[in-house]
Amino acid sequence: MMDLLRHSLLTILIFLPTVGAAAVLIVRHRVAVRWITLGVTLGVALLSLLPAVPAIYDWKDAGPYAYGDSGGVVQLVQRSEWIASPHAQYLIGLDGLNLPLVILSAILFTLACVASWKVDRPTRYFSLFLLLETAVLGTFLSLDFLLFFAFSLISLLPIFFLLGWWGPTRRAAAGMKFVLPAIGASIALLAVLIETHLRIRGLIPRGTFDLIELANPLWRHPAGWAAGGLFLLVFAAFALRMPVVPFHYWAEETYAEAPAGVGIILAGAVANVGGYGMYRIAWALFPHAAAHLRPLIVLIGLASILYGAWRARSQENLKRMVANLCVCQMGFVLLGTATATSNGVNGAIFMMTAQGLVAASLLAVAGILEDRIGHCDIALLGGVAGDMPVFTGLSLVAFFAALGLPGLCLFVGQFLIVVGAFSAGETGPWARFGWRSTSVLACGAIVLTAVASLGAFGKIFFGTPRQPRQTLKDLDQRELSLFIPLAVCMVLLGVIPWILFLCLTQQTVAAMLRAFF
Amino acid sequence: MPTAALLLLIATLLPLASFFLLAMIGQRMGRPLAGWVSIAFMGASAICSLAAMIAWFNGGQMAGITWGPGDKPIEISFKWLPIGAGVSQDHPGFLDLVVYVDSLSIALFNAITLVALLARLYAMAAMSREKAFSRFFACLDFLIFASLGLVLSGSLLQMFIFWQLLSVGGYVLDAFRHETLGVRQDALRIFAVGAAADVGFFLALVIVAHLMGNLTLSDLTRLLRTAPEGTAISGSTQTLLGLLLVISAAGKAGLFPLRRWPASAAHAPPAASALLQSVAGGAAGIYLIARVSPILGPSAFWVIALAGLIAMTLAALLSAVQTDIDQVLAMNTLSQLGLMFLALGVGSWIGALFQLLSHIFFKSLLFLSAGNVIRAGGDERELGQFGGVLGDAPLTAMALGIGALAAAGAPFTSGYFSQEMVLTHAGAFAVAGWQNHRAWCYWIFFALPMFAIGVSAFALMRCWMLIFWGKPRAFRERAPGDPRPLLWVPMAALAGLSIVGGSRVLEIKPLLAEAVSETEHFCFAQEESSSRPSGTFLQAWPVDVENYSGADADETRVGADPVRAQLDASARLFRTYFPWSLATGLALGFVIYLRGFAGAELLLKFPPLRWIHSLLTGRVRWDELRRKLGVAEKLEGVWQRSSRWLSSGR
Repeated sequence: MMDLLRHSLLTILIFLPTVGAAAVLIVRHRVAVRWITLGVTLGVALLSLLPAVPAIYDWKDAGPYAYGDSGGVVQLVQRSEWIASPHAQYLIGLDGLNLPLVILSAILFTLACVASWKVDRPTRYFSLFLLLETAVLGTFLSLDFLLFFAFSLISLLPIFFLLGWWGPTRRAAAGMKFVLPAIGASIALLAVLIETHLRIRGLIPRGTFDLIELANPLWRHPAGWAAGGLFLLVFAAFALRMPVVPFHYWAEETYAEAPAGVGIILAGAVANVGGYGMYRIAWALFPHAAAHLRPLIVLIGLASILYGAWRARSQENLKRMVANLCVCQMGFVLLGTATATSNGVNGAIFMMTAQGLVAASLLAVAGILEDRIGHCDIALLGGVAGDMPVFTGLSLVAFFAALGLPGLCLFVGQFLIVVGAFSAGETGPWARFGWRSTSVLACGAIVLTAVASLGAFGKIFFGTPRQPRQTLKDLDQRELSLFIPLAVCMVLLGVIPWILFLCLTQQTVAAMLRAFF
Repeated sequence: MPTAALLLLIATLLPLASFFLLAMIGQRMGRPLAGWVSIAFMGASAICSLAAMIAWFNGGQMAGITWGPGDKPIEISFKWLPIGAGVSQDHPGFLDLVVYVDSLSIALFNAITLVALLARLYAMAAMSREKAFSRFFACLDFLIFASLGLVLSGSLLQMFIFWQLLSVGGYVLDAFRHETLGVRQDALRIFAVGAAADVGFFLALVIVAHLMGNLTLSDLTRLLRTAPEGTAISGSTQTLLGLLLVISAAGKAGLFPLRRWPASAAHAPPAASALLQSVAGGAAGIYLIARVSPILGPSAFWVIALAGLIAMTLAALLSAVQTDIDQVLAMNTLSQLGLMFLALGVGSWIGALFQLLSHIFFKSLLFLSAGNVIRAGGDERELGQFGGVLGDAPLTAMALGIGALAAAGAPFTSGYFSQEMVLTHAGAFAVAGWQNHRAWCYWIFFALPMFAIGVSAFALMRCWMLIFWGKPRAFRERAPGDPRPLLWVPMAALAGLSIVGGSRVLEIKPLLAEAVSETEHFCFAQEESSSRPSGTFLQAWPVDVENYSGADADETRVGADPVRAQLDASARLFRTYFPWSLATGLALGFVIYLRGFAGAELLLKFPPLRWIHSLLTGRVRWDELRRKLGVAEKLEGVWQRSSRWLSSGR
């Protein structure tokens, strides 16, 4: 048993949900289906925590950005032939970049299952849901470009159906608004994939899609205009997923139309695929282009931060506000990535984890409001605190986390990223000026998010009820089991932030910075 | 871990435990029980602080360092956040959380826990009919946890964490009566102004983390004071850091132009305002500046002193024209905070903290007894609606009177001793400036505070007279009487503390002097005399004016004998002018308001006084003025239009 876990843990993680989906389709019983899904997602979440337990997996002191056998940072690698002709492999592995995101996604899937407990047509819903989990975990874990591409394309399918069949009103349009551009982005990614493959064939006759090998400095990275174009294609593909300005247009409507469970997954897990792809592919494959285009990327990051924070303040709908806060926080992630300093990149990874938790909590709050009152329009709500004190207390944690209160998770990420940005521009006076003013502006945006988040909280929970008068039921057991883990995680990451850096993240970031930043 | 530090840590965590307990099952505990639970936890915390004081006085050893009063502080660090390599980190590659205990923390812990306990006892009775009873106590617990955590922190990062938690505690208490729209908006505005000011603190953190990779305060002090050339922080950076931190502290203290207390004082329940005004709000700003003052550049002290001077004078003038009880007291708080800033700026570190500690006692007393008056009058805060309450509520009148006298600085109260010290030092600063530079402008550091103290005394006397003297000015069904024992026991205790707090009974002044020498021993242990800090820092002026011999003075500053002469001159000036200033203020307050507003209305017929009065009241109604001019609408219009433009996607 231990041996199986030791050698094929990651495969189990990826395909256990698929097995669960099959089981759901076979059983087709309304109640049993939910419990199967909960069991599978919970099992995956617990298994995903295993690599973080030092007693079970003994991480060697990691070396360069390479596979673990030769003293590198990538561990638990599984490799077998997939397609012979273009030499694509089934290649999965774990390092400090994807470990926090895999754990986060596994936990969020469990909680999203709890959040969508009372969904109608549960058989269809939960089979698609489990399929989505396979696709998302597969995307995070695969180290082969083609495999990554396949998983990330597959993940769009369940998202499309989940959005289109279970949204409240304009669901089909919302689904299309995200999925169609995402497919376009995938095509861009495919183009880059093919181009990379053709170029590498000149070097290695068989060709390779191995992302670690492609990131290695041994292979001469493409430079010049071609590289810039390729980089921008990849960048756009992932920026759409994150989302950041100017690819943010889908976020508001999609988050607003998604049912609570799907929204949690979209904002907490799928969005992080974008940020993760930035490191794993965009920067790793085209470091020179990334270095040249850095001012542009910083500008995009800063624009997202300011735009998201500014616009979050004026939103009338809670879910739309959350979408804008996500844009703001993803801007921080992008900024941290672009700093190419250890603090900034570590901070960006922390920020992705933290924002997943925060966005999930806020969307869960919106889900509860929709369940009790029927909508989550901030302007039409008020005085919820009177009837639902427990809900108010737990929501307060989420809203305060969203404004970056120290002691909760988001603050640590923002602090590290701003420190990284402040220390980034040591190349010249203009670079220094640019980076420093960027970090000052980013700090200013934190005040805007404070106004947005706390203002929305005050309007929804304080004051006198504005909705049709009815006694609202406070959280029940099931909903508590959704909110309490989220609150605990947010507090835990904020109070003892080094737990995220226990396993490999720092080493991986250091190795990565040496290799290609 | 040494006993003293452990006890203080427990004393900090007990309110947090109580907060969690009340937040989770407070609703189920019901009305009296939830309050008693909170009181029990707070009492345990106070006992822990007391025990920590005893342990501290006994002293001890840790890792080869002797700690105790006058020796060295206790410093224990825990690794917290990976930041990369930095200068003299305790845990390589990490920013630390630091538990830091010295005589100042001991004194503040005891004062805060004691006042918090008394305020809770008061709230227990005063809030007995409140619907959200347990929520109120939970919020108080959180506030006290945050302020105790701030006092215990030895690193800038940790200070920022608790600093922000303090804002949150303030927000939830300000928004306590959230059913009214205005209350909620004011609370949000207060929080937003605080958050905007805190950007300064955040940036300071970022800059220090970037340059040093270390935010532990004692390390920074050691590096910056002994070998500033060796560190990455240049003189101009140091000045910038100082300004950023001062902006943040001024925002917390609500100094001009970041004034934000008036709104909060009007809405929070009395027990909460007592704590917000004395312990949690502005006091935190003073504490922050006091702690970081060793690493500030000299120009920052000018800013601190001038900001304090302006705030003190303006707030004193404003407090004399308020018509709302809480506003009078809130403005008085601002004036007192200004005095403390001034003290820090002119190099009277001990004076500022001495004033802070005595202010904790008398300001809590003032707010609690004012709360009595307000509650008994049926939530009436307007001074115009009172009058002649003396016969009905003699005990409350006495309590408010003692508090007002202590705040004004009447002899034999705690306020006198602390103000004597601050003003003597400010006077010595002025004399020194006059002697060294022959510049008249230095005298404003003595003259304006003297004037402001007179005005404050007038304002407090006016407030007291309008409430208690004369005939009732408004019809009421039930005369506001003296309250039940549970309410006046804490008030009596605070009145006692307000009287003896400054004298030799409590030994606060010597304790603060120990704190200075502890810092010096800890941070400048190796270099005894060669590189003693120079400039305006910690102990620029000797503590004990009477027994000062001149021998152990700071030689690098102005030489031994001139200091003696300056202090003597200043003490003479103080003895000459202070009684006059105080007596004039009190007497004017008494005479003018002997017959309600009649005397004041007569005086306001004279143009210069009327002009001044309308100017001051106009300033207070700044929001109305702005509304009248339509600036707010225009701004809001721009905001709305731009938001609409943004959200339409065009």
